[in-house]
This record gives sequence, structure tokens and C-alpha cells, in this order.
Amino acid sequence: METSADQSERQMTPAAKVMYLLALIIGLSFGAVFGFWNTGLILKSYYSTRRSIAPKALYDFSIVQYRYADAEHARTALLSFAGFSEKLEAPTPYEVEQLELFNTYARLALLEDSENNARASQGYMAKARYWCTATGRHCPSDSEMKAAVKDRDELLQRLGFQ
Amino acid sequence: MLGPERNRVESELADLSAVQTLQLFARIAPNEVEPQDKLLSDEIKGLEQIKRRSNVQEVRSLVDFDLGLAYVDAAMQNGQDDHKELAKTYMQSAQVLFESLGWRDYSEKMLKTIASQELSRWRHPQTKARGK
Repeated sequence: METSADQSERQMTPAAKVMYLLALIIGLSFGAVFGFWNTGLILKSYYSTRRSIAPKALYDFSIVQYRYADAEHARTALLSFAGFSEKLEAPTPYEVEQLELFNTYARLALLEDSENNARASQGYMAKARYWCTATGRHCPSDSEMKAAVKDRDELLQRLGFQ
Repeated sequence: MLGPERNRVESELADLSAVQTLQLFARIAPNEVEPQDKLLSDEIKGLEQIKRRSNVQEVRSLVDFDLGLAYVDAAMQNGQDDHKELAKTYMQSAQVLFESLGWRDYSEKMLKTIASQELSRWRHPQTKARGK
């Protein structure tokens, strides 16, 4: 049988209560801060991945439209991708994004060439050159760049890539 | 980017991601996980939902393209299963979409070629063999 002496020994002293309460508050605070920080990191990497991958759908669509649609619809798709990608542009964009923009403007120039719009073609090639230079690669003349893009597009089509 | 512009871009990115996810599930998932017609019908429903919801023209055009390909897939599948009428309806729906996208040639033959190329680009050789 328990005596009253045993019961009083088991009762917490006020100092112990304060200690436990403080430990609880500190533990919860650290947990909340760590959870917030950790979730922030996960969300940051999710948004960063989405920002890199999602525009690829528009890029692929612009190539398909360039290949199979009439000039007006092809132009709209190519400009949509270029506009969207430039809007998203990070302070230090990946080289692949710069190359996609280079290819897109070169395709727009080729499209304008086929419509005999020399002035518009030159304007797009100026933008293509800007993005080519941004990659740090050697950028040949406009006609050579256009020929390279055209050849590669034809090769990819022959290989069955849309 | 400022508030409204940023929201627009984020919404476009979210829709583009959703379209890519639907593509992945419908075209890569192996046949034994779920029957192909179920995956295809889920893709069509999902794309139709995104099209209704999205107010960004670029996304709507991309959805039209993917939806068109899904209709061609459905037409080919129903053609193989001897559901000729349903196959014809799907093919007509696809042709309407490709015409609206400005395609110079949206004949049945052309669309089937493009859809087959697209499927073979995504699918693993084993999955393709099973799908035959």
C-alpha cells in the first residue's frame, strides 16, 4: 500500500515543471523552424525543377508546329516558347535553355525566309546570335547558323524525332 | 516579375507540368500496371479538364495537340478492337483539333504516322511488343 510520503515524493516540484515546460517549448520551436526550413528546401527544388522542365513541353510543341503547321501557326508557337522562356530567364540560365532560344529564333528566321520577309528574318537572326553568344560558343555567320539548324532539324525528322 | 504577371507564369508552369505528367502516365506506364484504354481515357479526361480550366492560349494549343494525339491513339486502339464507329468518331475529333492548329496535312494517314512515331519515342521496346 502507498503511503502519503511515497505520493509526495512522486509529485513534481515547480522547478521540474518549469524545466519540462521549457524543454517542450524549445523542442516544439526547433521542430517548427526545422520543419519550415526543410519544407522550404523541398518546395524550392520542386519549383526549380518545374521551371526547367515545364517549358520543354512548349519547346517540343513549337518544333512540331514549325514542321507541320502553316506559317502563321508555326510563328505563333515559336514566339510563344521564346516569349515564355525569356520571361522565365534566371540570372544564370542553363546552356540548354540558351541553345533552345537560339534554335527557336533561327527557326523563326528560316520561316520568315520562306515567306520572303528578309527584314523580319534579320531581326530574328540578331536574337539568335545574342543567344548563341550567351552560350560562349563560336557563332559563325547568319547563313551558316541557319544552315546548321536546318540540317539538324532535317536529320532529327529523318531519325523519327518530332 | 510583378504580382499578376508572376501569377500568370506560375499558373502556366503548373498547367504545363500537369500536361507532362499526363503524357508520362499515358505513354510510359507499362501495360500490366493498368489497361492501356484506361490510361488513355484518363489522359483524355485530364487534358479536357486542363483545357477548360486554362485561360492561357499557349497552354490551350499544347493541350489541343496532346488531346489530338490521344484521340488518334484511341482511334487506332478502337480500330484494332473492331469498334469501327467509335474509331471514326475519335479520328474526326482529332482531325478537327489538328485543323485548328493549322496543320497543312491532317489526313488520317498522316495523323496515324505522327501518333505512332510519338508512341514509339516514349515506349520501351518490351512495352511496344506487348502492345501489339
